[in-house]
Amino acid sequence: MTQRTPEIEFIGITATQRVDTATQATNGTFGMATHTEVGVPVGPQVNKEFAAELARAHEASGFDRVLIAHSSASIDGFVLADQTLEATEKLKVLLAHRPGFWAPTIAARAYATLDAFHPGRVAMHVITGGDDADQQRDGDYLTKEERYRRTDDFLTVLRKEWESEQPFDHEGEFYKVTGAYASVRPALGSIPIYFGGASEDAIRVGGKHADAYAFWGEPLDGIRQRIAEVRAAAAPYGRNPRFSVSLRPIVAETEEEAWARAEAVLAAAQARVEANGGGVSAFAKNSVGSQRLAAAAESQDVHDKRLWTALAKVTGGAGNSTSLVGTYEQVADGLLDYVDLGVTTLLIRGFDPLEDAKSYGRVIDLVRAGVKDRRPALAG
Amino acid sequence: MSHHADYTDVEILGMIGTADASEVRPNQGPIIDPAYTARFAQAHEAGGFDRVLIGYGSGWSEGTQVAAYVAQHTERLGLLVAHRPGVVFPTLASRTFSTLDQFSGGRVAVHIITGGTDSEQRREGDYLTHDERYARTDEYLQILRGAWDEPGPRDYDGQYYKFEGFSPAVFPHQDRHLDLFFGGSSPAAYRVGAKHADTYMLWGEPLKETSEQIASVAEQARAAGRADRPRISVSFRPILGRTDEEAWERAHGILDTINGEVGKAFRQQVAKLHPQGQAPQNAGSQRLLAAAEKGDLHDRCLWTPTAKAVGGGGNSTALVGSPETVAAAILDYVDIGVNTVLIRGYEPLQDAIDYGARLLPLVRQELAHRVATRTPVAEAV
Repeated sequence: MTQRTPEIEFIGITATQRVDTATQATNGTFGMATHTEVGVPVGPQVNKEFAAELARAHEASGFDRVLIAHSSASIDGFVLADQTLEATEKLKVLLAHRPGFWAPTIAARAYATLDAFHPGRVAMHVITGGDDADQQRDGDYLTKEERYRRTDDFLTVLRKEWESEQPFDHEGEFYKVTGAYASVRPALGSIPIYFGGASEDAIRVGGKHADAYAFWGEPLDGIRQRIAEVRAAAAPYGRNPRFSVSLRPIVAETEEEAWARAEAVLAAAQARVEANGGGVSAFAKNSVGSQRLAAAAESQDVHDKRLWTALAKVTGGAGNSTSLVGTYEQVADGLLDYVDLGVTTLLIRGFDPLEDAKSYGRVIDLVRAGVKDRRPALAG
Repeated sequence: MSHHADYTDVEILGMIGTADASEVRPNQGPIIDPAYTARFAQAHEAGGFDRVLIGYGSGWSEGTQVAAYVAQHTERLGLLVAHRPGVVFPTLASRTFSTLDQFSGGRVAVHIITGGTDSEQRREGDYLTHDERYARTDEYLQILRGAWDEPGPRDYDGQYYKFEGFSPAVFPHQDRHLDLFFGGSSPAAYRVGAKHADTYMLWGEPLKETSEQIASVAEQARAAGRADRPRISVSFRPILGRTDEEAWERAHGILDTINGEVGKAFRQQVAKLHPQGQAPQNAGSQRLLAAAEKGDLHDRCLWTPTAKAVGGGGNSTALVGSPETVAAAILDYVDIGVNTVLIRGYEPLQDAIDYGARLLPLVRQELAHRVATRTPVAEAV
């Protein structure tokens, strides 16, 4: 069987609240905004017009998809997904979902319903959750290991709800249903499942279920290793997932300007962390992915050609927090180094959501052109 | 406790689905037809309906997604989203509805259906008994109400739900009160619903039986310490004709279709999801069948053979007649204390258009007339 090589996919991120990055003031009561470490949120938390503007900016820059993130403090992602898809023509969404809070049957139907209204534009990002405290805010008291076993069970039922031709029964460790049968199905037959998590449990479960496996931006050697691990875990199931790397590019016309901006980002993030009492979040302490980013940051601030990890040191590696810093050409070159390892999805988001979404258009064009030169097979 | 009629604030609800289908219209297309869904909702908006109900079933389109889509294709139409406690954790559900309310500009209400049929519950992994389900709904609604109305971190430690440090990050549009509707006709349902509901929903029984249910809800509201009972909504399937004779001719045609090949196909399709051939477990359907046993025609024009033909499943009793007759029948229910009427037809889209053009103006006109001519004595009772 010949397998068509996937094209490069760019993913950005949505937000519903404007951020003012011009002022140096930090907002101590708000805490660290989920969508940026820099700047102060302004205006309503759910700003419909801003959400639409940001989505359109991504589409105009050539992004394929936007991530809709999830935490106990976020708004409902399904509704934001619908808003995003309605505001754009072709842009797709990657809608994050934490198994455990929705029955897998209704989660499957919610994704299928969204996909029916916007055919082929929906993907699911499965995040099992690395922070016990945040899980408990919504009422989940399982351990992390148990959560991954539940994710396994959840995804098994979810796929049956999408695919089963007949009413089905299921009796797993966490989920039991009798006679489940959905009339609503993914518009094009299936909805891609993206999967995140850096622990052994994550890789075992993700290898079994993932269509795409997402990593945070470690140095190249780390990503090479991660890809090998996931491929080994996926092989017994006959799966060959694509790979995604998440980075926070800092680009400018000159390299000096880019580094100056990186220093400003670091200073603002440091001030923000101090204003909130300092210290590393429980999430960062529990998460293997965070520990890896923090460990990379400990050894040196710059890895490979221009992977900058100083911010991960400040935040304890919570979330996607490593950057490629440089000119548009240099950052594109840095992204292509990941492509050379087998990465075909690049999740890039900045520190000023709207402005960076616009400026990344040049990076995206350069990477797509570079793929044609460096890896013709990927250019489609 | 006021039990007498209130003509000032009567709300008219419709219902939408995502495909052109009913007991007499087998679905020929996809389960979700976006263009049809938008047109169906727009017909309700143009016809002057206040809200539309979006239903819930274990195999159906997911309602909050349907509501999100409809909100983007209408301007002011209210969205009543049916929701079953137990399939989603309450803190997440609170965020879903708050977010939907924000993006729709304050147009959302939630219809809580606890579930009356064990086999339907088990399709989504719920193995509690009927009364346990209502006890869970009680906790669920405490948590929802709190998440919408009160900022700040909170813990909860109940029999069915436990969490620590949940702090809502999003609230209903402009911090408004988000309305809870509630359905169920068992003693457990009355107890829990009368405590939490802003509007209590009933299926269309004869006036006498409806009065009995209103009294049960009012009694339980008193027991829960409420100053007033919830608003009451009653659901019907009006069958209109230009004259009463024409309406009856249509009604018998619809009944024949339900009992014939088309209806058989519908029942077989539904049987995949809902058990047929056995007595319904849920009190609401039992009550409709009991009314149907007493006779076909009740009061002014309530007709129950359509309910009997589908085993009492769902909102299935008809009001048959000219627009004048059906409007008068609706006013009969307002007279006994009903505040909200839900109407949907057997020809879903065309009937919604007809109701808007021919029925609702008569109902509104009569309500306005009664408000204008009401004697103050009625209020002194």
